[in-house]
Amino acid sequence: MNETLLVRQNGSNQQFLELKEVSKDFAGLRAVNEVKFNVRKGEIIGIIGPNGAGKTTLINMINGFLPVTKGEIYFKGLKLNGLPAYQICALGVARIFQNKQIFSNMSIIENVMIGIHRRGQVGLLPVMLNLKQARKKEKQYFEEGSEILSRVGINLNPYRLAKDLSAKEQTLLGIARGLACKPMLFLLDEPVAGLSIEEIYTVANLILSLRKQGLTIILIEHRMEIVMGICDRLIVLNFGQKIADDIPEKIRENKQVISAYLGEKLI
Amino acid sequence: MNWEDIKYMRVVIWGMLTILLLLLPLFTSRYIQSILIFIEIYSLVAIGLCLLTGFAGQISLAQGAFYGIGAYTSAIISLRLDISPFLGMVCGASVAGIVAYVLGKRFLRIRGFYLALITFGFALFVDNIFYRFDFLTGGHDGISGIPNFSIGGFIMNKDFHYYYLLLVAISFAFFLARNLLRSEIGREMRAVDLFTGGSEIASSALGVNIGRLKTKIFVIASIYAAVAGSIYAHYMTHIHPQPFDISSSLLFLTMIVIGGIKSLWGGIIGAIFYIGSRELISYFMGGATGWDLIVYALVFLLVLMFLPEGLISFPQKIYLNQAGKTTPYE
Amino acid sequence: MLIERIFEVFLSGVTLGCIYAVIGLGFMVFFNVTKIFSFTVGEFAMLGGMISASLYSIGLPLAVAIILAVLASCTVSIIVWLFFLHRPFSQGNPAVTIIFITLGIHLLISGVAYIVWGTAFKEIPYFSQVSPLVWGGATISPQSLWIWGITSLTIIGLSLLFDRTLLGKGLRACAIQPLAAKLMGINPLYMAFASFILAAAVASIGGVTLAPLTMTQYGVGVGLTMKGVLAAAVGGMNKARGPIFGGLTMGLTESFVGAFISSKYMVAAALGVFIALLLVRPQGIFGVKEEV
Repeated sequence: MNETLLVRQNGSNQQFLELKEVSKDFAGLRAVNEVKFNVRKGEIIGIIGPNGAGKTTLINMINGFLPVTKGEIYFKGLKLNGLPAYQICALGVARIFQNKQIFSNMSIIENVMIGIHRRGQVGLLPVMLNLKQARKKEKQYFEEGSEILSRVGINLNPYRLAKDLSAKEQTLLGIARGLACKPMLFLLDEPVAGLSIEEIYTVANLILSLRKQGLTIILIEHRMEIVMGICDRLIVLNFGQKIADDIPEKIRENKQVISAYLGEKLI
Repeated sequence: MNWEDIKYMRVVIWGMLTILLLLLPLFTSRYIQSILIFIEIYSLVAIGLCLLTGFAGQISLAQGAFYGIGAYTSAIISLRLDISPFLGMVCGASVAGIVAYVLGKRFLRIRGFYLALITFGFALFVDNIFYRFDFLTGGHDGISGIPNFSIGGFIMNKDFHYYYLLLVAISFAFFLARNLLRSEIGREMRAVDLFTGGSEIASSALGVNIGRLKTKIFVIASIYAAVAGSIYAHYMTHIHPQPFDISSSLLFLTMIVIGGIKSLWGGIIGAIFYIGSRELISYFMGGATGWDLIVYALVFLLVLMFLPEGLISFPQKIYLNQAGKTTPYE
Repeated sequence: MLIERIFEVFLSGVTLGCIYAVIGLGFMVFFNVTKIFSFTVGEFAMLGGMISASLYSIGLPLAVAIILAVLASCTVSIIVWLFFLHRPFSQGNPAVTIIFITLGIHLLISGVAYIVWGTAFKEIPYFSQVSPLVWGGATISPQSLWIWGITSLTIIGLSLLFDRTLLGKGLRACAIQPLAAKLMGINPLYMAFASFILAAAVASIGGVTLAPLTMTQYGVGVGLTMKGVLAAAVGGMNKARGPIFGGLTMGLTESFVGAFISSKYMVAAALGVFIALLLVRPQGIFGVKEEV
């Protein structure tokens, strides 16, 4: 991926996201063990590691889906662990799922509108009485949603059902939904799984443009093309433990990382 | 026959039905009118329950209790404090709403918690209060002498008054519920519902407060039931605890299942079916026997096993096919 | 005298609580394996009581009547399963639908019971015709001893089943992680079926032991279901001690409030206590909170 621009920004040195000795136990099995790292504003961080290393578990903890067994997670100084997922979203953290989890029987515009709701709903009584303000808000949601859809590159009829979309379009839809929440931190869990090289290229460029718009991004991926190409730093997990935290070139030569992947070729 | 023809036909049919509905009291006996009134009262409860069970996916066993709370509160307040019955109805609805809010806030935030559990206990608790707390509710004998609804000097003491009042109430209730389902809140409900391709996980990651959403719907359903109960009380002018016990809660559930839980019309159809079948069977078998319960239970089971979308699914499928939609509330 | 009275009330509360505990265990067994809230548990308890009463009244010896009643309840549960639950379970129908089906089964069974027995109250005599004992100043009816004994045997029997037999281990596997159980060759459908019959058996034992204490009637099913469910809910449904503790709490509260405050308000008071307990600790006293 030599064509990709490798933009290494130095954001401000403010600690944007901090993980302190974060651990997760599942009935005696320690899935994540005292993971510690920091993310600066504007970085694109990649989290990589063999299957089962605990990457998604870690994201689930940042997101609020799993309670932290030990340790703390701070986002812009606020403690995240212990808060429910919807509140963490309201604080500015959005997320993509490994298995997409799109609302399949809803149209793509409605999928996006869900995220927009959060930023100012009309309220129960006005919607039940179908007052003018409710109808105006609906139009607003629709316009905002359409704008977000075109921003990520979906140029389809907004009333298309989400389940009719191709894999790449579903990925873009997932990103659009997350963007609707106006996040500052975006967690992408294997966004390009199952996509072709060209499609990965498109998504990678989208991610870079998101960073230009001010987002900080954490990316879990197996496809090395995207990971090596756009990440400022890589964090490598193995058996729930952090074994490396460095720029991609150094990670490529890290003996521990290579042996962890045991035979997988790093591009 | 194209869509335009069908739309025209629909308008005509609906128009005729509406006129028929409006004119019914003129040529029906008081007995039939009272049956219709009960169908209407149960429909009101059922619409609220459809919202809760069909669209928010929660099973409540307390609708009978809320129905009773509406009835008793309204009766006690208007009788003992000498206030207008309409105000009593508002009080009844408020009490029900507050209780539902407290229960919902505490229990609906917990993932996988069965609302059925706490509403079961709550229904039994309320039932006991109605039967045993004589000083308040009159115990087994209940409360008599409840005033009719009145506006200004006009007292509503004829059956057909309540028939029309309920028609207005049901129309309004339906209007509110339909707007809700088509709104942002309806969208969130669909996003959370597993059976319409939704996902609780994705929704909460996008900021939907699922517990608060379900609580809102629970409160709405409880208010619908309480208003129905209050109208019942002022219509009958005498209430006793038996219609508000756990079996009525269970019956409301069966009604909406038979009618179709995923449709507001399903509630109305279910009420019509329940009362209609009950009256027909006792007419043919000379009074209440166990058979009406068995027949009803069998129909209920058959619908569940072979027609899970309820009786409404026949006309609903035709309508949706013709209109090119997949769900009725987009 | 007061101490003795308290002890007596305590013991009768324990007796009552044992029965609620047994029914609660029946509910819990099926719920843990299938995660289905079943309305049928009280019906099988009712059938246990009513069938044993009828068999006794046509001249069968009490012990025979009881055993046949429990077997009959199990048979009914098998028939009910095959007709109404087998297909929905094997087709993977949504839980809400199946819960409603159990509601329909409850209505059906009470409807049939009404046709068969009408509104008559049935009773069976105490299991042993011995004069009441006195222990620590309190008078105990021998029926209480029977109930404690049968309850303990039931609990021991269940734990032996779950710990020692293959069926029991299969049931537990399904309760904890159905997917893994399936991968190990355990058939969840068969486990659901087995737990349904087991729940019916346990509930009917509870109903039979209850019958001599309070008369039984076609309509008691719903109330018993409620009490069993609440016992399990308040105690916590993750371990057996949950319904036992919940049932005992319920029985004791009813007993004490009934004896010292007023029998009129005793059920309302007990329920109020439960709702309050659940408000404070929704997962039950011994339950484990599911992660949000």
